Amino acid sequence: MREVDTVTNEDIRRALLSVRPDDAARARMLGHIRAAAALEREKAPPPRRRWRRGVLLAAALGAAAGLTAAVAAYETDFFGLWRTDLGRTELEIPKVEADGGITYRVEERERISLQGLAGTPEHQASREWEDFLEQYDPDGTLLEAVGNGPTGISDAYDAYLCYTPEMAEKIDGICAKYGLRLLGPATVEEDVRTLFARTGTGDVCAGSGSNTPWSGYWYRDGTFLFEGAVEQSGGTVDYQFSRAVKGSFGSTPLYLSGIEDYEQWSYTTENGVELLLANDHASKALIIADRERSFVTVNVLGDWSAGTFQMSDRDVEDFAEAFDFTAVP
Amino acid sequence: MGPDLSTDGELTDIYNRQVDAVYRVCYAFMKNPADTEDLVQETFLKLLTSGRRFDSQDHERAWLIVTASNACKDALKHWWRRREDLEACQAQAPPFEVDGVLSAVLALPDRYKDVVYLHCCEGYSTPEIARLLHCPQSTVRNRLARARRMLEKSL
Repeated sequence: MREVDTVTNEDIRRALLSVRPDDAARARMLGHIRAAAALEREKAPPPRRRWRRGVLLAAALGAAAGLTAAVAAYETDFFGLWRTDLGRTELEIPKVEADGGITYRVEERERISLQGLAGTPEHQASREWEDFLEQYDPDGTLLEAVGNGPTGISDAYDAYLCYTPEMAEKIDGICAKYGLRLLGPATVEEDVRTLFARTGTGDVCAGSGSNTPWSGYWYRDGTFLFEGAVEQSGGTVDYQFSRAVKGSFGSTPLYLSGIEDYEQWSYTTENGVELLLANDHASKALIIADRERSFVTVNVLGDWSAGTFQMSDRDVEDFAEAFDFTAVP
Repeated sequence: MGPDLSTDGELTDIYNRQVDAVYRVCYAFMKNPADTEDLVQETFLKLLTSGRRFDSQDHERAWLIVTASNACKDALKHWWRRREDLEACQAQAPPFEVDGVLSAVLALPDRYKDVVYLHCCEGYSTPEIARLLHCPQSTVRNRLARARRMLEKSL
């Protein structure tokens, strides 16, 4: 490191301008983009990277226009994290080794539903789909056969990452069984305020404090997910906000080390919305709201720049006040 | 009117115009060539599927930079992504020299990087960055000031 008194814009500009792809990387990226563009023009799904079961399980978020919304009855005594549980599973965790190779280790994780509480059609559907995925194509033979090519499956099933017609048929069966609708294709939105407008919701980031949403995606029924950060206690707490509209079939679980690791408590916001808060004091906190027409989960990731997760229960309550949950009925 | 990406030629034109800037932004966040290439591709695919039209090449460039920045933030925090994977990725050697200033810039917290890049490398003013990133001007000013202090301290 050199000794300097000040760093000028020119120093930074010069350093950043030295970053550039070499010719091989430039050609490689263009080739992949052109291949994906060709597929897009044929109305086929673009090539997918790193098809692994862990990614497949995590990538889709469910729902479609819902009419079966069970009216939210807040039963605080029974509204615990365990009511979102989908059971434990083994997950392949990718790790890039020092030599650039990728290895996978298998770890057990708890899955919780982002779609609804146990007993609801949304939760039952998620569990049935998870059970199906557990036993389907266990050695990845079918996935390997499909590769990065087009699957020929309608974009109505995009949210579930089906790669065989059999998987799409299973989705149809689950939807029929539980009276749910497909989510359909997602729309990526760089401006989250536009996302709110498109989904007919209010500004959920208009709570107290500085809450900056980054970007997200939404479905035609009003289901959405976006990410952002809240300035709090001298740091920046990153989060992911998921809203799953009831009556739709969403399939994305959230993975936890174990529900028993979480301290849980009920909390009522200053504007009267009842929440379940959970904090494992080690890696993340969760905020869950069972609203009349949707099920809301906020995955609180903490301040990444701090290196460790450091949020007290009071911090989590203050964080919850940075949102206006009345904006997402 | 911006490019219509309905032909390979138009797509290649915009790629050749903007790939260096998009690559720089993605590398600043991802800090390894493999993930950077993934995110560059993702950014151009977002452009392709967005149907965006731009008033000028400056507008096109700004959109790509902000989209790349957001895509990287998303990738770094997706549900399944784990911090140790990213750190292990950094062992891959980049195709360019990483000097002290660049190392210090790469070590900045992620939330400062897009602001620093847009200001120092692209020459945007504080109000322009605030509009691009949809955040208050005070936030941009604070982040630039904090980033500069961190850089001076680390160097």
